[in-house]
Parts: sequence; structure tokens; C-alpha cells
Amino acid sequence: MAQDVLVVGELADGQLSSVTEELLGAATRIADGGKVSVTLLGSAAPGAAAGAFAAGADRACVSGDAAYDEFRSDQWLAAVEAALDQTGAAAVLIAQSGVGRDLGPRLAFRRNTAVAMDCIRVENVDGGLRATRSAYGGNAHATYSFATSPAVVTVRAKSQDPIEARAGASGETVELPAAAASRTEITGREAAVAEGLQIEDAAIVVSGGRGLGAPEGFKAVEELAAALGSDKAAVGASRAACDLGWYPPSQQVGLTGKVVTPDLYIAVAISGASQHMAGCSGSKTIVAINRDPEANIFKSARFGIVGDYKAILPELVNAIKALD
Amino acid sequence: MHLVVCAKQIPDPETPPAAFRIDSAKNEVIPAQGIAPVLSPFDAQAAEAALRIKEKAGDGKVTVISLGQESAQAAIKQVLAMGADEGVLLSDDAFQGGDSYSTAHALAAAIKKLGDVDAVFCGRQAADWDMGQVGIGIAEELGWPVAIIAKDAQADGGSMVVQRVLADGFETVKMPLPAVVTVSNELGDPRYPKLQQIMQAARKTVTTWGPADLGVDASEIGAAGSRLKLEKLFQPESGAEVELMEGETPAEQAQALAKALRDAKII
Amino acid sequence: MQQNNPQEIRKPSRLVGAWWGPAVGLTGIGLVSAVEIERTSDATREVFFNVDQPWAVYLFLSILTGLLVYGIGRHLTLWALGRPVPGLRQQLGHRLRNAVRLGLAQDKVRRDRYAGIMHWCIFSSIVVLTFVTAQVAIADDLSIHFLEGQYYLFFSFYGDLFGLIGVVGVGMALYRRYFDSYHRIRWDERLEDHAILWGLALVLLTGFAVEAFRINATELDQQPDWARWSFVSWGVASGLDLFDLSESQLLSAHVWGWWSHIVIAFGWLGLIVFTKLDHIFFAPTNAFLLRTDSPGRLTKIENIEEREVFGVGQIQDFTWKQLFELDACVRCGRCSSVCPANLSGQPLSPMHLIQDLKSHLATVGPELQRVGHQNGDVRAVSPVAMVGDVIKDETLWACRTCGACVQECPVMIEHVPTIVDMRRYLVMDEARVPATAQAALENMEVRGHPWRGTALTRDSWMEGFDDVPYFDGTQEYLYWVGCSGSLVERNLPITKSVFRLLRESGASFGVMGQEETCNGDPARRLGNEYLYQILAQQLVDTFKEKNVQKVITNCPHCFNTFKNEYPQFDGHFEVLHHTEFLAKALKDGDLQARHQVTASEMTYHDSCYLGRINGQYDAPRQIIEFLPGTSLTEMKRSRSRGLCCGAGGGNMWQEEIGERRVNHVRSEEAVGTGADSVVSNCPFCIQMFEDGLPAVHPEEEGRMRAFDIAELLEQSVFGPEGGSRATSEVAEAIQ
Repeated sequence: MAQDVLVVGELADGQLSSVTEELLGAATRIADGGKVSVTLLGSAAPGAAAGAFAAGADRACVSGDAAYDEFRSDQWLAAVEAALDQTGAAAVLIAQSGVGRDLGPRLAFRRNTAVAMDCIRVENVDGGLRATRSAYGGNAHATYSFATSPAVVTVRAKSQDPIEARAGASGETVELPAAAASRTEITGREAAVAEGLQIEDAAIVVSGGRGLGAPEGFKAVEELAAALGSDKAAVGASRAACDLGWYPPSQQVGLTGKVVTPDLYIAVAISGASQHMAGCSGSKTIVAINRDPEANIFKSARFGIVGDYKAILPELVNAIKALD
Repeated sequence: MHLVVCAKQIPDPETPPAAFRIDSAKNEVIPAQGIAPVLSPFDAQAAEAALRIKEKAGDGKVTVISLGQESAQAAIKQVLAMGADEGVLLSDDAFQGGDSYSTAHALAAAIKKLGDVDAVFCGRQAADWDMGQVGIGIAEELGWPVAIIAKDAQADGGSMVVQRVLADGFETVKMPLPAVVTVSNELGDPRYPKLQQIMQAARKTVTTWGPADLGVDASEIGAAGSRLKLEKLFQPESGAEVELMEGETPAEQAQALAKALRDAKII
Repeated sequence: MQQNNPQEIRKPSRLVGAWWGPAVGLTGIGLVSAVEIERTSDATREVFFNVDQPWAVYLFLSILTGLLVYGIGRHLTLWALGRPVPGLRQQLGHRLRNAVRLGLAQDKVRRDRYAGIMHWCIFSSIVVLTFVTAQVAIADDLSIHFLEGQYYLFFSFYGDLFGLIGVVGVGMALYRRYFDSYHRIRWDERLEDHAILWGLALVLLTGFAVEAFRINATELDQQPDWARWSFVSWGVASGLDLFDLSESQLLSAHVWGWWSHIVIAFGWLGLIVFTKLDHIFFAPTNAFLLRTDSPGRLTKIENIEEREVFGVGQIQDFTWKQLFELDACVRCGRCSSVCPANLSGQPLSPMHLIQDLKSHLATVGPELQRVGHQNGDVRAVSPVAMVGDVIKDETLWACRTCGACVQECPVMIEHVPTIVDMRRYLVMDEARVPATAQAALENMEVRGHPWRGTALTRDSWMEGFDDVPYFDGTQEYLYWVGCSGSLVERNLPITKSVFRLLRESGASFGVMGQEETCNGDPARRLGNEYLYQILAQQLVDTFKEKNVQKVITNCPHCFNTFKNEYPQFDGHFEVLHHTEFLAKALKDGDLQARHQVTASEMTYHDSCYLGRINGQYDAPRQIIEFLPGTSLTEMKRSRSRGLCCGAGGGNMWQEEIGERRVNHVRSEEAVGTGADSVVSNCPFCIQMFEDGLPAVHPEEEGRMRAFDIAELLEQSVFGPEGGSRATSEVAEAIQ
């Protein structure tokens, strides 16, 4: 059964962000012939509409007001509510990002309905939305249906495939109102992120955990990443390592950190608590290096070495260099 | 200042995976033997944030509210031991089985009943369902501003200045009081209670409120008020068997791994 | 390499005052000779010969007595700040024996052989010469003429003998202080150390000089046969003949010498009031005050829920005994020279801790005393934060509670209870706890074990055994696996080994599985007495409900807690460490160790809580003796001198601060024996070696292996195919 779907779009560098393309892909599938709309907010929004149509949107609800450039949830909420009023969508998809974490629940409460957060699967079952998400730190999965409409869902990045781009596709454009004043004032912003390749974009992520024993352990991890190619490999860390102050929180992989889905994820001295696995289980291949043969990480890994990382990582660097 | 901390008692998130079981007929987690429920760790950090503000101000009151069963008294006592002044337990069969919506609705009603609240602190998410909605829900119900995923919160006159953790850094926001803050682990470890405070907390009486005390409609709370229906709770299937690298020495193991990755065309 | 032979293991001598032997012998010979040779003589001398103002001696004596009274009074007012000491009037016989054995006979001083001889020489010399002087005084004051005839000659002889012994002792002390590369006595060297030593040297030398002048002036010519009895002075007097001094010169030198001797001697005695020389009195007294129960038992805070203060954060919260022993410290540095934290460059030196507390007491004590008189409450003021400022938090956390300092202290100071009392303050009163220790404490409280984040359950080790018996009150023994034995990966093979050996021995036993909870030991050592009491009381109740009578433990910490501390909660059980049970089973023939094991040359690490604190050194070594084809090389620090692995006192759950990690130091000592394996009996020690050995020997090839003794015995009993660990892999690794 068809249903209309609204996607809350996010922009990155003037373009539709990759997660928005994924959401549009999911939206076209669950719309099942229904109309897919997308909100585009911020000064780059009018220019991003064409990309949205190519990615699957039938309708773009756009405001070019620069006040939307920085995300303030009360302003964005008003815009999305306006789009919802105009489109009458039965389902709203938002990325599980800084935007979705805030906007998802707000929208649901404002519209007296429900939201399922951080979903990894969304389906259209008999015209109703079914969403599956992980719970209990990844030990369990839960599938929900919605008693009220619209059904709001935030979706984990890289859990959905975008559609093949529809070159030259076009659609309807609807103007959204400009932003009203916000009650929240952003007084400062500070970037805290490693330079160069970001872990979300890297083809290879090498992560270190509490088992490194000391912050110096990350040197060996960084050397391994460098050996794998600084254009391909980035360094991550478990929450335990970040909480100990061994590595910046921006590099944290896991439920409350970044979700990464590289081709290769190398977990060094990480026990593999389910909260960590929630951030890396989408990786194509997981390699575990751990002293404890019973460590949980080996349950998800394809390749593993049982041993002390201090002895193994330098040898692995040599072995990788010897391959070329 | 009157600060409220919302605290939830949850099954121990550190339950070893081997001891984690689901009753698929009831769609419920089977409590692991010998593993007691705990205060959700992010909620302990929310309490820490509130107590830091109270300490810095030199006066004020911190009230901890929990919605749960009678056993949630333990979670309340833990926050009282940390230094909170009063505890309120929302405990009634009608409150049980709810989703984030019905929980936030009941908590917001309790906060309204308290009357003079300046700020509410919640964990960024409860470590069982990991939804991260209740704090925002309370703000929406009360019509207050909210700042989520805070690593620091400071009261500044009639405003709250919150440092938030973003994906790519930090953001400082200022919002007028009353307001809601949800707190993340980046705030730092919650304090270890002094024994004197543990003893005092043990002697304190926790107020229990039911739906009638809050004046909420029974259809808006607990299972009846849920907007989200759990269809199925299940344990995901674990992945394939791991292939452990053979080798007498670390060098041989490392070479075996490099070769395996190359053979699989991964590097 | 020494062959494995327990008989050769040297035990510390228990003979009280072994050095009294030769001295008493020599004195006896002198006495017999004097009686025999001078049977008919009427030898004597004039007391206060050649001295016109003998009353001066009594003036000095009065001043000295006054000083001593003043000194003791000053100390007493400070000690009185402390809380009462419970149980002091109990076990008086035991306490008196301690005072004699440890105080007078100085059993502990002899743990350093050189210092033992040196100290005995000085001590016996002072005792005898005081006796000699006292006799002179009695003879003069009471006009009793007993210093005559045979006794006078004998008196002359032993006076000189012990004077000479004193000179030897002082010589040894001078050598150690100025010429030996001996560090510990210089860690806190002060002017008084030199003054005491040189003062004593001068007292002895002037004593001999005075006697020599007198003998040269009188007896040498008149009574040469008498003179020879004062053989040292006689020798010196004979030497004086070379200078051809006139009688008036001699008499004048004698007067000057006499006065110098008197002034220096009284001056030196006066040092008792102002310097560490007070240990003459304080050491035996402290030996009397020494605890009479096990050093493995920490004090129970009674009625903890009704207290307002739980630990010791201010000096007046110590007991007066704890304040008293601060004054007994002589800064010899023995404690710090054996302290694992200090040896590893970590921020704890027990000697400095005691000295810092002592100066703190001297600084704030009088003010507290004054306030106490005014307000009746010494708690009212605390001018300085003792814990935090005087004693740093990290100093307290660095303690392993291994008891090495207490063991070595020649004046019987008990550092560990004092440190734990201050930890109690940090944890319970101030809630100032290092993050990792806090996590362990919270975990014990919430999850009943200290191993945060373990993926194992208390049943995990049972995988593969379908016949694990649960304790139901009908079996003889409860096999207590413990948290570390069930929740830490490395220790699972140990638990399995012990289980299989118990089963093989035919013992009647059962386990508690999921019903086990932490017995509270780490909480108590970390200073959370409240949490400990809750956990301990729960477990005592459970044991009683289950009708537990005898317990076998894997872990020396569980062993110590059940054995020494649970009686405080009315839990009286017969407790065996697995090594004790297994050694007996081997001796009784219930187990046969037939097969070769994967270790051949081994060294044995005494865990502190089985060894030093509970005195069980032999059972594990006896088991090693049963293992065919193995030899044992002892480390330099072994048995009661064994060095902690670094994990004790809750340091298993703490980040170490300092130059080195204790387990690296100890692993180095183990590797230094050249053995292929280090064997121990404690899950913490094994974990520490598993971490320390790769650190000191980074190449995997030829690296020493760490085993619990039960793992090796299991191999020997069941053969290479039967071990819980992949023994073939271990064997290959060794070759």
C-alpha cells in the first residue's frame, strides 16, 4: 500500500549529504508508489533540489533562509512541521545525526505521535511503517509499529542504500517559511576532529581500545593506519579509550560515537562490547587483535590474531609493507 | 535553584552477552540471574551535572524523579547519596509498559506538580533502549527549550549555558530557564558518594506519586498511552566464525593476516 | 642451580638473643678465673679517685632525670590526643613475650645480620656499662663495700670487655654510616644521627682513657696483677708509659678525662629526650603494644552506621598507640627498602610517611592540646589537612598492604593499618578515590565482583564439565572459586585444575556457582569498610545457612579474609588454601604426581597473603618437590622477604603512578633466576606476571612462563593430554 513519505534533508558543502541520499533511497522503497518529499533548509538549499530529485525525491520543500544554516531545533521543527502540513506525509525519515537526535523526538512529541530512533531497517507492511532498531547495547533488536500518524523514524547512517541516481529527474518545489527567532543562542563552536580523512569516510578504520593499556598505545595504531595508506585509513577509538582521555571523542566509534562502515575495520585491544559493535558492525570485514581469545570482538570478526598488540602491530606494519 | 534529575533503573548494561536472554513470547528481556538492575549510567552523569551547579551556586535543591517499579527506590537512593535532596518515585501499575511518549508525559506532569523547577537534567539516553527521547519529550510537554548531549552545563543568571558534543566538535548554546539538558558521558565520571551521605540517603523517605497525584489521564500514560508498539524483540544472529591466524611468532601471525587480507582483495 | 630440597631452605633462627651466647660465655670464664686466681687478694679501688667534686655527678643525674620526665611528659600529652586502644589488657603474657623477644632480644633487628651484630654490641655494652656505673654509685652512696676482692677484679674485667664490645659496635656503625655504600640509613639522615654515634664513641673512649690514666698512676706499679683485669685500660695504660708522664700530669689528665667522660656521658643520655635514642624505651614498649592477632586482619569499625567519622583524616583520630609508634621510628629505612612501591619509584616510602606524621603531630599537637583544654573537643580544629597535604592521596593509594614494612620494622611499627585508616577517610569520609578504584568499588557494590566489564559469568569455567557438584551442606568442603577465579580469563584454567585435582583426590566438596559474591576483601583494602561489612556479613550468613564448615580457596586474599577477618563477623570456618589441601593430598597418597610437566627449572613467588601474612611458605614448595624432573631456584627475595607482585591492596584496579611498575620489577627478579617458569599460588600474582614478563622480555621466544602451582600439578597428575591448558603449546613455547 502506498504512503507518502517526508525526508528531512541535510546539506554538506552545498550538496545533499550522503545520508540524505540514503534516506531518499529508503523513502522511495517504503513509499511504495506514494509521494516522496524532502525538506531542504539553509542558504544552499535551492541549489540542492536537483540533487534531491535525482536521489528519489518527488517534491522538495525548500527555504533558502541562511538562519537555517546552523541547526537550531526549534527553527527546523517549525519548517518541518510546515512541510508536514503541506505534504500530509504518513512517515517522516530523519538521519540519526545531530539533527535527528534532536528533531526526531521533538517532531513526534509536537505532533502527538511516536518516533523510533536509530533504526537500521524500515519497511512498509500493509501501508504501515515497521522499523527495526538495536536495543540493550546491541544485544537485542526490536521491531516496532506505530499507533499514531505520522510515524517518525531516525535512521542510522549507512544502513540504507541510495537509489541509482535518476539523471535529469525533476519535481515539484514548495517554498517553506523563513526561520522565526530561536530561543537557543549558539554562542560558540569548536571543531575537534582529526585532520585529513574522517573515520566515517575512510575505507579502512583501525581502532584502539582500553586494552592498549596507555595512551602511547595509539602510536602503534596510528603507524598501522599509516602503513595501510593515509588516504584510505583513519584511526578510531573505543568509548573506554576516549573516556580515559587517550584519544579525542570525535574519533569514538560506537553507540554514542560515530557509526562507521568501512571495507576493513581493525579492532586493536578492543573487547567488543555490544555498544562498540553498534558503531562498526556494518563494516564489510572486521579484524580483531586481542590477547583474550574469549573476547567478544572475535564473535564478529572474520580474521583474528590472539596475542599482544605490542608485538603484533609492528610485525603487521612490516608484513603490509612487504606486500607491495 | 530547583533542579530536577530524571533517573531510570535499567537491567545492567554490563550483563555479559552470554547471560543475556529474551523471552520471545512476552517480548521481554529475562532478568539475568544474580545481576541486579542499575541506575542508567547517563542518568548518574545527569545527576552529577545538576549537583555541580548546585554546589557552585552554594544553595539550591535537587530533586530526583524516577518512573518505575518499587525497586527503582535503589536508583533514587543512589542519586540521593550523591547529594540530591529529595526523591520522588512515580510508581503505579498504570505507569508500566509505556514508551518514551507516555514516560515523558508522566514525568512532565510530576515536574509541573513540583512547581518551581528551574531546570531538568536527564541522561542523553537510557542505556537499555537507547532511544534518547524522554528529555526532549519533557521539554516539549512543558514548552521549555532543551539542549541535548551536554558535556558541561553552567547556570548563568536566568540562563543555562551548555556545551554540547557534536559529531565534529563542540557547540556552546545559551538558553533561557527553565530548560532541559540531556547529559552525555563526556561530562566525566559521576562522584563517589560519601558514606555519611549514603547513610543520610538511606534514612530519607521517597515520596511516591500515582496517576491521581499527577492528575494525568490514564489513557496518556503507561501501555495505554504508548504510541510505539513493540512487535518483536529478538537476539540478532551472530556473524560467521572467526579465522584465527596461525603462527609461532607474532611475525608469522602478522604475515598470515596480511596475506589473508590480500587474498580476500581487502588490501 | 640448587636441587630441589626443602630441607635446605634456611629458616630464620628463632633463638632468642643468639648473640648473648658468646658474651655470657666469656663473662663466665672471667668470673671463674677471678674467683680462682685472686682467691686470697683484697683487690679494690677508691671510688671517685682523684676527683674533688663528685656531687656534680648527682647534679647531672638530677638534670637528666628532670629532662627525662619532661620528655616523657611532653610525649604523653601528644599521645593522649589519640583515641583509646581496645584490647590492650588482653593477652598480657603474649605481649610480655613480645616485649622480651622483639624488644629486649631484638629479634627483628637481626633480620639484617650486620646491623644485628652492630646493634647487639652497642646495646649490650650500654646495658652492662650502665650496670657497672650503677654499682659504683651504690658502692659510694650506700657505703657498701662490695667492689672488693674477687668481685672487684671480675667487675674490672667485664666492664672492660663490654666497653670493648661497645667500641666494636660503634666501629661497625661508623663504618656503615660513613664508608659503606649503604643507602637506606641516609634516606633521612639528620644531625642527631651523627651526634648519637660520635657521642657514644667519645663516652667509650674517654671511659677507657680515664681508667687508663688511673691505672697508670696507681695500679700499674702498685698492683699490676689487679690492673691486668681491666685488660683494655691496662693495655692503654701500659702504652702511656712510652710517654713517660709525670704523676701530676697523669693526675691532671685523669681529672680532665673524668670530667669529659661525665659530661659527655650525661649529655649523651640527655639525647634520649630529644632524639631517636628514645627508641631505647619506645621499642620494647611498642613490642608490648604490638597486635596479638594476625597481621592479615584489619580493624573492624564497630557500629559503623552510628559513626560520624569513619576513617582517620586528622591526627587525633588515630589511636594513641598509632601516635606512640610514630615516636618509636628510628629512620633506619628498613621498611622503605623492602616496600614494593618505593622500590619501583612510586610515591610511597613507609619511613617518610611515619616521619611526616610524626612532624605533623609535633606541629599541630600542642595547638590541638590547647584547644582540647579550652573546648574539650580536640576535633574542633585541624590547622592542616593531614590527608591530602601532609600525606598525599597517591601515597596512600600506592600501598599494596603486602606487610613487608611491618615485617621488617625493628621497632614494631604497623604501617599498614595506619595507611588503611587514612584510606578509609579518603573513601568513606571524603569520597576521594582514583577513577579505576572507584569503578572496582562500584562494581563490587552493584554487581558483587570487582571485575568491571567482564564477559564471563561465574559458571563459565564449568563448560566442559558435566559433573560439577554444588555445595548443599552435606559435603566436607566448599570449594570457593572467587571472582578472579571465575571472571578473569587467565584464571579459568587454574580453577579447572583445582577442580579436577579435588575431584581426583576423592575429596567431598561442592561449589556455589552463581551464588558466590565478592567476600569484600578488595573493598576493605581500598578503604571502604562499610561496603566490606555489608558483603562480609551477607556471606557469613550464607555460609552459615549452607552449613559450610571447611573452605578451600584459590586465592590467598579470599583465604586470608575467611580465615582472619570473618571471625570478626562471627564466621568461624576452617580455611585451606588450595596449596595446603593439595600438598596434604600428595603426602597422603590421594594424588600421584607421575607425569613430567611443561616446566623444569622453576622459581617460586610467595604471594604476600599466603606467605608473609599467613606464614604458609612450605606447602607450595612441597608440591613442587613432588613434581618429577623439576628443580627450584629461589629468588633473592623469597619467603618472608618475598616481594609483592604489585596487585595487593586494591592496586589490581588502579593505574600505577611512578617510575616503574611493581610487576615489572618482580618479573625481572624472577627472570634473573634463569628459570623457565615462575610458579605462584594467587590469581593476582599470575595476572601480574602475565603482564610483567612480556614487558621485561619482549621476545616471545624463550620468555618465562607463569603458572599457578595447581596448573602444573594437574599436568603431573593427569599427564600431557589431560591438562586444562594446551600443554603441548606451552611445551613448544619453552623449547
